[in-house]
Amino acid sequence: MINFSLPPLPEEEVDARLADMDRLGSRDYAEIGVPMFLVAEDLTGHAPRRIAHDGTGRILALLLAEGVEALRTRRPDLDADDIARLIEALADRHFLSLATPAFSRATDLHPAAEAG
Amino acid sequence: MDAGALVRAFATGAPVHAVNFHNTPRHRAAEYDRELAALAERFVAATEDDLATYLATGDWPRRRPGVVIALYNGYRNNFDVVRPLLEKHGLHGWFFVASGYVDCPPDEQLAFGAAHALRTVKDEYPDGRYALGWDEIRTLERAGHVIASHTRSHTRVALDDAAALEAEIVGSQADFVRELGHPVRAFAWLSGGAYGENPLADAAVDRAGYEFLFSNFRIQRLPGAPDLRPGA
Repeated sequence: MINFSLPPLPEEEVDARLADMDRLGSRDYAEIGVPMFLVAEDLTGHAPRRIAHDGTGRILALLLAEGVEALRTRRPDLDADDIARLIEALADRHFLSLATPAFSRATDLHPAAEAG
Repeated sequence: MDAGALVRAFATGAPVHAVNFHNTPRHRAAEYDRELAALAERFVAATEDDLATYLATGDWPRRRPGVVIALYNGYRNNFDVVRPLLEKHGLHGWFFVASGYVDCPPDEQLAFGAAHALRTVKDEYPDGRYALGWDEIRTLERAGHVIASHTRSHTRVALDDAAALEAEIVGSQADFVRELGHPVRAFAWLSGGAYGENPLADAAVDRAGYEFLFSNFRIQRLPGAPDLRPGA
C-alpha cells in the first residue's frame, strides 16, 4: 500500500488562492452565472454504492481537502460561506477541465471512437 | 461546518456541474450567450430524469457530461433574456421559482422584491412586472425547461417555525399544483440546509412530495422517490 500525503501549500500559494477567492467574491453575483460543484446523493436506500466512474469526485475531494487545510492556516474557524467560496474557486478553475472526455474517447481526436 | 464530511461526500458521491444564475438583465445578454455556447460545446443540460437515473443506477444516461443550469427566483428577465439563448444552444434551464413572487400583483412586485431579497434592475420593466407570469412558466415547461420551487416568498424562515415551513415548502408546492396541474419535482432552499439536518423541514419536504432537494452543497434525491433500478 502506498501511504502518501502532499506537502502543505507554500505560503505564497495560499495567498494567491485567497486573493482569487476574494476576486470571485467581489463580482456581482446577482447578475452572473456562477459555476459550482454539488454533491448528488441518493437517499432512497436502494441506490448503488458506487457511482461517478470517471473519478471526478475523488479528484474534487482531494482538491477540496487541500484547500480546506490551506485555508485553515489563516481562518481556523471555517464556516459554510468559506467552504462555499472555496468550492466556487475550484469550480472556477476546474469546471470545464473536469468535463472533457478521456483522450481516447474524444471524438474530435478519434472520430471512430465510441464516446462513452 | 463539517468540511471533512463534504470531502468524503465528494469522494464517494456523484459530483454535479451546476451554473447558478439569478437576475439576467438584457445588458449582459452577450455574456450569457458566450457562456451558454461554451457549456453547450461540452455538456448536455441535465434533466430531472437524468439525475434520477444517475443516482438510482450509478450510470450517467447521456453521452456527454451533464450540467444543471439553474435560474433562481423567478425573474421575468430569465424568460425574456436567457430562455431564447438556452433554446438557441439546445440547452434547457432549471427555473427555481418563488411562487409568491409570481402571484404578487405587478404594482406590488418592486416592494415585494425589496422586502424579500429579490434584486431588480431599475426601470427594466416599465409595466412594473419583474416576476415571471404563470403563462410564461407554462410556456417554459412546454418547451422542456424544468420548473422547480424556490419557496413561496423567498424568505429565510426559522427552522423551528412549523407554520412558516409549511407555507414556504408545502404551500409553494400547492401553488405549482394549482397553476401547472401537477407537483414539481425539485425544491431549493433559500441558502438552506440539506435533508437530514432538521426534522421539521424534512417532514414538510416529504409532505410536499418533492423528489429532489437542492441545498448549498448538495442535490439530494429524497427517501420517497421511486426505485428506478432495473427490475425493481
